[in-house]
Amino acid sequence: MSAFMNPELLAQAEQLLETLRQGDEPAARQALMNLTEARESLLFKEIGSITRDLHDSLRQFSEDSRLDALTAQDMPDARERLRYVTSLTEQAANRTLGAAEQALPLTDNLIRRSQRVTERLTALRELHPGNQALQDALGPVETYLASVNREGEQVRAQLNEIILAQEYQDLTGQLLHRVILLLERLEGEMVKLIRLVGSTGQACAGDPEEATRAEGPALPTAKAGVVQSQDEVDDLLASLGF
Amino acid sequence: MKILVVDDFSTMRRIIKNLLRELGFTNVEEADDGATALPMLRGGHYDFLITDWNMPGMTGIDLLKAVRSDPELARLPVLMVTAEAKREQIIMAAQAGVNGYVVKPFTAGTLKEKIEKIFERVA
Repeated sequence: MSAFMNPELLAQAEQLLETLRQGDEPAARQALMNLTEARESLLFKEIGSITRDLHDSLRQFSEDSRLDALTAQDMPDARERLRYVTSLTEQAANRTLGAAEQALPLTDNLIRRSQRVTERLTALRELHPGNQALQDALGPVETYLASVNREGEQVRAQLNEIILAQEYQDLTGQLLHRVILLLERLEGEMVKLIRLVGSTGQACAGDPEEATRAEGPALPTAKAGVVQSQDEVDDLLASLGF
Repeated sequence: MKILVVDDFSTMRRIIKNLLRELGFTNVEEADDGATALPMLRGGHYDFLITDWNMPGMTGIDLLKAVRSDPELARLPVLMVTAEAKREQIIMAAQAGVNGYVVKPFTAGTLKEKIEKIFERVA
């Protein structure tokens, strides 16, 4: 520490050594006392300087409008954005579900009708076994109807897959909800911290829900050792010689 | 067969309803949490309950406990369909008397298998 390179201190230390070598006990005691006093005054200066730094930091913290903006605007804004994401994904999932739900019965109809027509064509074949032209003409139609039936079932399966895939909305919604809760907690803690060091008061109006959220009975002892206002911070500093 | 689907996410209720329809169950009603579901179950003559776990108001596990402690509902088959996947939670649900437990995300096959298994056992 540069303070100990103080020439005055060095001179006093040398004097102490000298008096000790000479065996001059009263003079040595005096020299030691001078040295201790000088050291103590240095120590007080150091404490004073640290306390002043702390004071400045606290004041800067309380005067930093970015913190107010963070708790009063940015964090609620972030929460809103996340809520909006949840609502957008919900809308998108519902749109997809709506479209798939409408397409499913249409597909069912296609399948059912193609089956009915196939049955009739089979009956027609049986009614006219000797009509070769009819038998030949029915072939491709039956093949087509069979493909409608088969591919219709595949479309059904895919539509159901689309419906099930929408469960992402539930899962992402739950995850986002957790992040929103975390943000609310963080915001509450920051508001408390800002109040503690006495902010402009703007941030205190941040979240009305936070202030009214049930926390159980307040414990009077919980706040011991914690300052409640800038006045208390100032008083504390005053007692330290400010 | 009358079924009640309980989930706070309407998307998930809709998905489960669609899957149930595919399995041939068309008499399906919905509730968004346990507190809404319980009065519906009482006197609603439901045959099967499918519930999520994590819901605001009354959770699925509390709904399950309420169902098991109600003499009229105690024997109602309950399938839990939830994202809660901790071992302790599954054990807790089992101890509370759940009949099946499906973890989200799930497939149509899994849901079908669990539902069929429950009905086999109940029948």
